[in-house]
Amino acid sequence: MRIFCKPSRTTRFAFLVALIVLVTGAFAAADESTGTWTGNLRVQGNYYWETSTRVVAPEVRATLVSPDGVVISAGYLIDAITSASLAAGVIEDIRFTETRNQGSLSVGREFDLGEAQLRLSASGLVSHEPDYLATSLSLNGTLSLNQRTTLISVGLGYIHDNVGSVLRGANAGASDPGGRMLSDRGRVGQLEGMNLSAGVTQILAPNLWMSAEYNLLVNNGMLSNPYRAVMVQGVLTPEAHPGQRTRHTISGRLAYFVEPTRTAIHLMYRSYLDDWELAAINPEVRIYQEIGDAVTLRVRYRYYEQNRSFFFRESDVFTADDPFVTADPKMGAFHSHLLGFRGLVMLRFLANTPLDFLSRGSFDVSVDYLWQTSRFGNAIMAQSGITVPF
Amino acid sequence: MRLRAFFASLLLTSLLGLLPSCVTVAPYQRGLLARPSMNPDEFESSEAGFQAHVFQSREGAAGGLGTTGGGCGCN
Repeated sequence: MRIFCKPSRTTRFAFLVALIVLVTGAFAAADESTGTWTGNLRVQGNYYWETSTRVVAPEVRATLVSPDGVVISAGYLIDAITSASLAAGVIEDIRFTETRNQGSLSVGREFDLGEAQLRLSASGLVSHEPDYLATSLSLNGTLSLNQRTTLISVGLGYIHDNVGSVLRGANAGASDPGGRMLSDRGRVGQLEGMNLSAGVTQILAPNLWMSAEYNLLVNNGMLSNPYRAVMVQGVLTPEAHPGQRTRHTISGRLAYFVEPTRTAIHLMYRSYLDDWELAAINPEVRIYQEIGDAVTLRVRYRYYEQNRSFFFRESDVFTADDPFVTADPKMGAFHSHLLGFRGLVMLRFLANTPLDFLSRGSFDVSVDYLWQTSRFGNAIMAQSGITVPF
Repeated sequence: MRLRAFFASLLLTSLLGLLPSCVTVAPYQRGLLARPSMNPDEFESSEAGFQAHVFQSREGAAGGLGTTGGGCGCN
């Protein structure tokens, strides 16, 4: 099935607001002489495509730094998700577009402890869509030691989600011939999560640094998808996942700069294990090339492989005695390759032109292609944005 | 097999964690480390949030992507 649509009214409105905010913020640079506040403004577009889903997500983010070092960052994102679904009571495939609104705010400050520095920050996020409300809070602390050669970070987070169910095409018939009307079934569950992370970043040489992190995530509640159903001995049954999940992740990164060629090489690794017996490995290599003082290019290759969770089986193999049934492609074994390109251009060449207000900023664009053996299929991910300091 | 890989990376990460006591690079020696290509916060932090959202809705693993997740209706 093929889906294509022009940007929704909401998406076009978001782009317009983002453009106005960008231009307004850039002219605020004229007030820089007061020396009171600095910061930057970023406008970004995100795009994701796969066979049955397309996501267009414009966002805007502003960061302010007060004279005494308080950093305040706020962001807003609109996520327009277009999916092709077979609606209840309707024979043909129908394309649905749902909108997700997400707002985030973080506040942080660094405290000088003499021989060390301590940065504390708190952040919150609210994400709302017709059938899902997600909220999260997190606290982070970073201790800098040995003249900032060593950074030790600890983070603690809490998430609380209300999971709803909206049935599409429930009233299909004379009153809703297209089957597009939504029938809100209200909240069907809640999901809670606690997140703990601890990491270290260490400068090893004037052109070499590394970082390592451990992350623990414990989820309780509605961990299945209220829309997915599984064929159990010929009977369509709602998906049922265990109600708790404990997830461990270890990640590391090694970055090395080759001065003669102005090339940087980053080796990354991520390893994952949870109590659903799902394990994954995720190595990645990124190569950066600086061209002059204004352009930085990056190519990356990412590999991901996971095994299946203990309750995953092929469709129709479940029996009525199985306590857990799933139709989630993420629960099965698969692997993926990602090849991506990213470029960043400093906009100094716009100085003394009608676009001079952007000349202290930068423009970036990235495109990634994913080959996935999961049921989701291959995908394209693209992002582009402008950042303007003021 | 995956279990072995997980614990091998746990061991490697622990060893890397012991490195901090070995080295001090003075601030005036860090010019190369300030380059955009050596500074992920500057070069690519803007892409991390959306990409983490995509990966967490398409892969069974979560965490370790440099962002603090947050839920969505993508289970």
